[in-house]
Amino acid sequence: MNLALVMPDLGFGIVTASVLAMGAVGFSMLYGITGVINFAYGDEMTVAAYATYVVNVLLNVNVWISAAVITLGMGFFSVAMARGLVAPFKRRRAGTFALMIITFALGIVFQNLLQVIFGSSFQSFDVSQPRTVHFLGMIYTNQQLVIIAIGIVAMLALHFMLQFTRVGVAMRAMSDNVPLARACGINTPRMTDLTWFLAGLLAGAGGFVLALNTTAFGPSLGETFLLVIVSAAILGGVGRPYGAMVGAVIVGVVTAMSVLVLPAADKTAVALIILVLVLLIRPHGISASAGRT
Amino acid sequence: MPEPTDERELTKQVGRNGAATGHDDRAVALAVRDFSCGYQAVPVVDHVSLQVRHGQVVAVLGPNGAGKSTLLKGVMGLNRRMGGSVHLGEREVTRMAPESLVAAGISYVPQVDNVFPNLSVDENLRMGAFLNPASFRARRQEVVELLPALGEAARRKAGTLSGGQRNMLALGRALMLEPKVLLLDEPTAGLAPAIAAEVWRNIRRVAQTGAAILVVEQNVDFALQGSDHVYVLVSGKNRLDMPSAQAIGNDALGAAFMGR
Amino acid sequence: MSAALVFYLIAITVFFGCNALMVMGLNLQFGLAGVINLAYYVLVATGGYLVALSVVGPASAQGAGIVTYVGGWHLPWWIAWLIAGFGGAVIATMITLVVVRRLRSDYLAIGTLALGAVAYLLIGNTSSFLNGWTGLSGVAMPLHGIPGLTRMGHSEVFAALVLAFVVLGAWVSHRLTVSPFGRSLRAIRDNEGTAAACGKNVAQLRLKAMIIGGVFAALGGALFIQYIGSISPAMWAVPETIVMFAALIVGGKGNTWGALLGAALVPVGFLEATRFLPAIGSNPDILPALRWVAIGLLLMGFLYFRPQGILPERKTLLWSAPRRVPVGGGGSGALPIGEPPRGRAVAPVAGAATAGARARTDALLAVRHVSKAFGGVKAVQDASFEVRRGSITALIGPNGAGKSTMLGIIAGAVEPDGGSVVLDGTPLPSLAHRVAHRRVGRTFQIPQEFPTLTVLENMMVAPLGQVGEGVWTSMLAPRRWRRAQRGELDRAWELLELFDIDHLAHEYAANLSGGQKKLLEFARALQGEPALLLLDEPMAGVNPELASSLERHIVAIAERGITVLMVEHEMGIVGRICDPVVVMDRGRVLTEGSFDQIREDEDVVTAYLGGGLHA
Repeated sequence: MNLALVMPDLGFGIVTASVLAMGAVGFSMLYGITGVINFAYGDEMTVAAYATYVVNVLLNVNVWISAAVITLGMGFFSVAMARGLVAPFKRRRAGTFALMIITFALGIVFQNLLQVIFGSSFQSFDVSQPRTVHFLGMIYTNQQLVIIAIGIVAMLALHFMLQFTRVGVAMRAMSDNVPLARACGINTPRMTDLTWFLAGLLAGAGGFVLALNTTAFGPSLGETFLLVIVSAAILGGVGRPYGAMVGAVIVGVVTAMSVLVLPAADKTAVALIILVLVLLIRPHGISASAGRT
Repeated sequence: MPEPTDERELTKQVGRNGAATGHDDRAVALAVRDFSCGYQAVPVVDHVSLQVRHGQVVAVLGPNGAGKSTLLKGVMGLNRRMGGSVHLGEREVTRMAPESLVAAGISYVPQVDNVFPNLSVDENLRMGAFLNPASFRARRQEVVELLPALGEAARRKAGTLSGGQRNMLALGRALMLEPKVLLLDEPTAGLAPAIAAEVWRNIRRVAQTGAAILVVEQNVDFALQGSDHVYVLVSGKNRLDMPSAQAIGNDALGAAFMGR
Repeated sequence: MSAALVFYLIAITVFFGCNALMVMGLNLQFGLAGVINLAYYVLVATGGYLVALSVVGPASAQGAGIVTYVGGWHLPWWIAWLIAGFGGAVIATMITLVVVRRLRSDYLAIGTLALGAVAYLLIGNTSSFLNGWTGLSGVAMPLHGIPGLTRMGHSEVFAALVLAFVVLGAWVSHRLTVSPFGRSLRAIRDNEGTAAACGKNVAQLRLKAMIIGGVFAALGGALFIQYIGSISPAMWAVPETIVMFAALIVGGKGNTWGALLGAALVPVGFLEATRFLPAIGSNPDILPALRWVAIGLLLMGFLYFRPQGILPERKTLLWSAPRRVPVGGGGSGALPIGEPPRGRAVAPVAGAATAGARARTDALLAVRHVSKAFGGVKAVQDASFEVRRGSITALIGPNGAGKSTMLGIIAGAVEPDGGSVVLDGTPLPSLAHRVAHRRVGRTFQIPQEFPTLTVLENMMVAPLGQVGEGVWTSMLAPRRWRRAQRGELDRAWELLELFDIDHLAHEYAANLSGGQKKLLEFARALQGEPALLLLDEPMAGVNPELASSLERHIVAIAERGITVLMVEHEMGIVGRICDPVVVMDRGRVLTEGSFDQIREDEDVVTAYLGGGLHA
């Protein structure tokens, strides 16, 4: 196979992986620590994209600053959403399935509210013209390189927090064994808030880079993307942030490379087929480590 | 740790928990009086009394369904407390929530799910010291001296440890806050005899630092060799109560187990 | 009536009818059988596409674009319906075999969601299969060629046809729901393991529910497409399934009327309620979007305030009344089971001796060289023992001896790695429902009741081979199964009276106390008329009074000729009523003998005191 044909797709796969990574890690962490399968996550990313658009285009702020501000804002939005809309159901001992339907419904509400406000036409950020960059035979735009950089920085920051801060280790402990964490004196409600906050940050950054990567976006931006995120998260072993990163890379690269053999339009379908196969063959994902207690 | 050779050494090794004035005069660290607890309406533990002194190892034995694990959980507030009282030293702690009991100085090591499998050994210990992070470094040193295997495996993920090592880690984790009272639920369950013997050696060494240890144990031999005093529970009630030395080879024990 | 109004009414009627069929189908899959199938709308689409392919002619250039698709058979409309229904059954079977069989609830939801999305994307992107995103059009309404009917006229006939379908569907759905078939589905929904122990073939019953639901969905889709005239992927995107679930949640799942109400309120009500709102602003997309927002909020509101729906699943009060004034304490005269009259204590020695004496020497059950390992741990190693006919045999041993695993293997719930279990000369299969059909009953250590069924219904799940458990008999022969049920109901009442819980007959089993659930577990195991009864720690967590009552019941059961094998820790009851006693330790059978022999056996004492250490 001609390398020159493969490399651009590989490059695109890496960009996709970077975009995926944030969503997959956020989704996975949320499930691992709070036990909630958040089907509104994709639409949260759409909300972030539109919010960034508002600040960028309508308020005329530089796009990168808009993104940073909105990312922070999404953190708080996420906590508010959890406290206001998820917690009441959890208090009523709603089962996992009920929570799935509820977050799904929430996602529908988000998506369609955006459509009511902005209409279904496509929007774009106000950003300078992209320049192409050649790197190792792969063709990138400078924006795509920024996306990859954002992805790497986010993952490194997360890694640092999870490994080297007391709070991060406590979150990983909760992900393993909640009663034991309580027995160590870890304040689980506060940790839950913090987890939602982080998930919100990741949704903010993830939504922004997703919108940036697709250039023109509409209200359904995050809808199908959610399932691709879930695919990466489950492939990596749901609840495992590092696994989700690996899953993102695999799904990103495989779907991008699939265009060599399949029609380009089927890329998303490839990701979903991966998801179904993983569920059937090895639902715990590729991580071989000890399971969640 | 070397055996204490004189009074001063003994005092030094006892640490900050309780006084060491001699064997029988040691203060009572944990007292359970007429205590009943269970899960639904029926008490599984029925008016049980026992006590553990500082530096003492007390074993709780009995046939299955006797309520031994339920007793530990009841003391720790993890099930319904239905009567009687629990005292930590002078202080009555019967109604306290588990988190407060941890802060007050009782540590509980459950039989299963007692470590964080995806965290390293060191991180597990760090979580044990969560409420007092400043003390982590120094305390870790002490715990590793007590249980050297933990120092060797410091970076390994807890989930990859063998059963015996895991139980040891669970013990180490529980020691990080220097508890006055340690509740151990079947620490040798599923372990080969050689490893179980090691676990009991460690229990003895921890007791020498002054902690009061209450151990639920299935293996009568180890329990009698390793403990100072033994209680036998049958059907949720006190049945036997004697120093371990007297219980060794005692027919009354077999009778209690076989329902005679 | 103006033509516009008539047209409007017809449209509403057709819309309601089609959605009613779809929601009823989902009720069968999810409400009754408890299967979470988020790809449900794919089944609806199957019906729509098949009817389109059946009715239109072969692919050809249509107007501006090239139209490509498979099929195009130009068949009469009623054959199209058969094809659509059949297609729904086939796709439902595929979904069941591929996904439903292997995945549990959360993963099942995600898996079916993904499958639905995959179907949507692949069909949309593949223009040669079903004409991609554009879809098929020109689907003629049935009865098209009938002379003398104006266009309006034959729409009215079509609407009537749709309603006829709804009536037929509701009839089928109702019949299925109230029959033993429906009861078996609900039992599976509540507790698969216990349902299997009662002889229900879980996989097969689930498949049947999925197929019937699939047929409903496909027919609903077929009729809808015949009315609208075209189908494209945009009509059956993933959120449409959520509308179906919303309809069920709002209307009330588990019953036909809730499904109908939900169909009327959600898809129809919402569409119509918003149709007459003036277009807001200049944006034509606002109204559909608002509709979705409303549905999302409605769903969340109901799940919070009224998760059981407007018409919740009604408590099934099986129509017979108790035979005595339920006091829950006194006894009546003739007890059919042969239990000694209450009040007279059964002398302990007499119990064991009579049971032992009555026991013939031939073995009813033979366990031969059975082994089972979980991960590296050998739970059972080369275990062999026999259970004599008519005896009360105890299986004892320290913690971790493998007793519960052994019981699970005998009951067919756990598949052994090696060895065999032979009942009455014939080997037992390793499938719980088939073992139950060999007249083996079992209880569980922690009572496993069917929580959303009443106590009486719990009992009625147990009889084996009931009339009305098959799909056709449940639909077409209600009188037959009702008549057959009478005998079983009588028996159920007898047993409930025997255990003094008949006053709870119409209570949901979930509301019983722990002790009452234990009694129900016993009664239910007996309802199946077992020859061999497996008891897993019957005295666990039971207060002394109830314990002695249970002990009396067990002796009475044995006196009736039922063989009992019980795992127990409590030595008292073992000593009083069990003979022989089989001792297990660390997965092996240590020894066997009378209780007195066992007690003195040094090896046994050591095993107990040594408590579960591995060599």
